[in-house]
Amino acid sequence: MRYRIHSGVVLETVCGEHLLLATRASCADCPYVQQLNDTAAFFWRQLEKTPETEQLARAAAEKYSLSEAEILPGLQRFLDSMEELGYIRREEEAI
Amino acid sequence: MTQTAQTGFSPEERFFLQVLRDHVHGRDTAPPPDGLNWDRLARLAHSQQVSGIVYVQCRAWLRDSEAVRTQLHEEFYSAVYYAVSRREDIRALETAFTAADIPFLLVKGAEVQSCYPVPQLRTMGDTDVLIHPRDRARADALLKAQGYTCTVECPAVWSYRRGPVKYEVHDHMIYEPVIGDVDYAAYFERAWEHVRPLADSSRVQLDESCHFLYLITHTAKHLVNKGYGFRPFLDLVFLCRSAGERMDWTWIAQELRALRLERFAQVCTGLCERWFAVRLPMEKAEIRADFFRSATEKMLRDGIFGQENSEENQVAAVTKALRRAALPYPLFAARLTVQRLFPSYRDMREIPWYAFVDGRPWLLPAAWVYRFGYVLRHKSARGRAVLTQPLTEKKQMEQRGRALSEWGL
Repeated sequence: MRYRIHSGVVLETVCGEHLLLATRASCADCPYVQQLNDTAAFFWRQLEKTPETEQLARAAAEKYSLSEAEILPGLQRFLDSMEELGYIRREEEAI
Repeated sequence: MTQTAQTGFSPEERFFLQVLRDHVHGRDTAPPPDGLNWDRLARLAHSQQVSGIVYVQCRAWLRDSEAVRTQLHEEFYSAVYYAVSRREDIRALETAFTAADIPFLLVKGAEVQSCYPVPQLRTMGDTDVLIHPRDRARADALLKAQGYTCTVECPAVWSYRRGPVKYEVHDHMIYEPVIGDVDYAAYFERAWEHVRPLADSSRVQLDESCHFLYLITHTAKHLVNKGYGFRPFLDLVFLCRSAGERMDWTWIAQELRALRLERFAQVCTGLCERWFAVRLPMEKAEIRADFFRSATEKMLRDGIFGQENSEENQVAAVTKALRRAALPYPLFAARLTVQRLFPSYRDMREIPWYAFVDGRPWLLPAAWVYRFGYVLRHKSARGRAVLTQPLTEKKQMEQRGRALSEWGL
């Protein structure tokens, strides 16, 4: 599966806190601010590099020394919640 | 060793200054003694627009259950959100202005925030952009085409708002007198001679020495007009810390003399040393204990731009006029009363409900009569208070005049 980040959504790390921020036009479609934990912030940084779930899982598995199968459920929950909040959309639905 | 004791202030005020000082020095803030009124501290931080700084300085030991932690955390979120929104918007603005070949520069917070240890926590209500007067119409059309709504607050300041972002687009850096008869507007028109270009952009950057002069002048303007909180002084501290070594302090001293702000800058230096325990790389004035106390109290009371202290600051406008008029007080009071009874055509046409005089100055007497009637019927107490102000508030004006003199203004 492929995901695309909503244009204008930015992950900013300030004083150790990871904040997902809906700037410019994206503030009409998703919450202005969402705090992420370290793992979610890592997932997001990977998502900025690649839209492919498989590649995200591979990078996360390497980072956390787990198998891709172990990573996938948590990764999918993260992607689902981000999609529900409007920060990302599946690639088929162009933004 | 720098003296930092602040006897006589409330525990919340002392702790607040300690937090700012720790932030300046990049060190953690230790928990205060028990009994601190956190609501009062949070209000103080909010009024000075530094809640985000207070949050990061105190979050290590503020309990999650404490309401103040939640409040400060939300204001931290807000500061970061607005900062990042502005940054993203400025990128788009820069692209658009560059494509249209409109030179521009950012001043005050938008530029100086990069000198802060956490740039996102340098709050600002708007982004100040300077353009050439000749580019006004093109910049206006471009911004409106991008969906910004324009409000003209005064002929030289045009505000553009879209979502959480607001720009103040200026074609002059200073519009009004600050001290004596110095022509600040003309002086700062030369700012364009003190800029350096940025690669592949029509944006230029003001040289730090010139920016320092502007920050000093702007701070003086706010103090003369109303008041100012601690933020502009933090700007001076962080600008000097970041760029002090490459700033031309001989030139700055010479230009401050030309601007008649040399003494004021020295007072700022002295106060920054007392508040934040830092030395700015320029001569400082000796700060007497009673002036330190009254200046600090005013900063704490005023909040940012004097907004928290509007009643006291109403006297400021008249005091400014009094100092500029250089007339004996009875003559000044008489002139002020006549001006208040019969406002000029220029003033009347700016007030929405008397705007019918605009372009028809012969209607001015009718507007005066209408105004007398309206004030008598609906605002007679306020009208009396305004007219008798030169008598009832003479002492406050004299007091404010003395305070400004102590600031070197």
